[in-house]
Amino acid sequence: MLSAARGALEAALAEGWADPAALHHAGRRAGLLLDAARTSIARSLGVRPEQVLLADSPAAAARAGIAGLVPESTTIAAPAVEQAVVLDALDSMARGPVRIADVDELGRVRPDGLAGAGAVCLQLANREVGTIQPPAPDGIPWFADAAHVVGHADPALWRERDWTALAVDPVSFGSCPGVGILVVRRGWRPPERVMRGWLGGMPNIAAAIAAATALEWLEGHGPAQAERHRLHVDRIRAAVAGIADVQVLGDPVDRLPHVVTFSVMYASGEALVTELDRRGFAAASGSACATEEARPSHVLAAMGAYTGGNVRVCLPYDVEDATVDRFIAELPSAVDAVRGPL
Amino acid sequence: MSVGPNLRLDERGRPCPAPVAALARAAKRLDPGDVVELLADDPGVDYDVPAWCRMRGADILSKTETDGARTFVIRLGTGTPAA
Repeated sequence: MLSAARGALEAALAEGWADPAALHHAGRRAGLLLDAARTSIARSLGVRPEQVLLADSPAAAARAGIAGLVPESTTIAAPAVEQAVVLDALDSMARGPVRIADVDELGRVRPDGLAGAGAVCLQLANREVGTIQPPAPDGIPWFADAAHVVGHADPALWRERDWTALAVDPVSFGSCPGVGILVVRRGWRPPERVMRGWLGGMPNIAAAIAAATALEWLEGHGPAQAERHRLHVDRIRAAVAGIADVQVLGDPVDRLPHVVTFSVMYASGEALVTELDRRGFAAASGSACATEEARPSHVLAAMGAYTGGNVRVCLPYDVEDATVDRFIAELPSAVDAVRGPL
Repeated sequence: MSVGPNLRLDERGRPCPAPVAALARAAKRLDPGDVVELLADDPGVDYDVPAWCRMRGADILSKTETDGARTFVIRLGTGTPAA
């Protein structure tokens, strides 16, 4: 978590604990803080404050974003590599047919899979492998998941595309859990009650303030962070590709700056992540053995990628060059330590 | 005429990454065009045997499943993806 966001969170917990619907002084103060957070988030994202809605979680924001998108009985299309919460929401909420579109080996949706749908759920980029998606077909309602895009990728990627509703996960840009951001445009209708910009539930004002603070910090620092991340990931991808029997995943160029994913054949993903953790690197894995459901990541499966020995690295802001150097230097021996003899 | 496989690998009861590692070891000693029968029951093989075959230019001639036990019949390739 960004230190600026953590500081704002702590201060806001002291000031903004009350229910903004309450008439007492503390409630009014909480309401003003919530308004300020929305206004600040809107300014950072380049939209009007009325377009910014907040929810209890990114999943709740995504569900509302999809539910407010389309009239009944429209065909909704979504690529197989959407986030699980989006696919689950489609499963449980869609009143019309749902079409799951195939992706290529980089994880990019095949455009013909979305053609002819009445509405689409299409992420701006895939958070697991980093591949940036093409825009949705013109002229249809579009729910766009922007997790790991806002705060990392070129702002043109969300500002210049024609989505109807955009969901942003503050954890993905260095803030805390407890709030999801939904940005809406004309054509989107609220599927539930909205109180002072909050979709259902008691507003988590401290989390909203933290998210606003992180976004403000990123306005100044985001582009330089992204540039450094991009160079680091280029180096990591090249180094990983030099290890025998490793598959580096996702688009090498048209990708998120800070995410790198690869599969080490003949190694266990769980063992590899544990070995990296022992060496001080916090990585994730989409391998079946490393997940609670004992199934590999649906993203890797949809790409036809090798799912065993999977490692996903998400670079934090302000990562030090020396840390990346050490990761590159130690990865081959970490792989050797967990890979049996062939 | 049906010709039996050049090698049978029974990897039942062994979790990922053992089955694919056994396949890769076998490919080292055998020749392109040789046929390997692989038995495994780790569900990861559903994804990783096809992915390995694509990367190594091998072909899956058949796949059957009985009570969770998968049987792949694989014709080995040259070790690089098919053109």
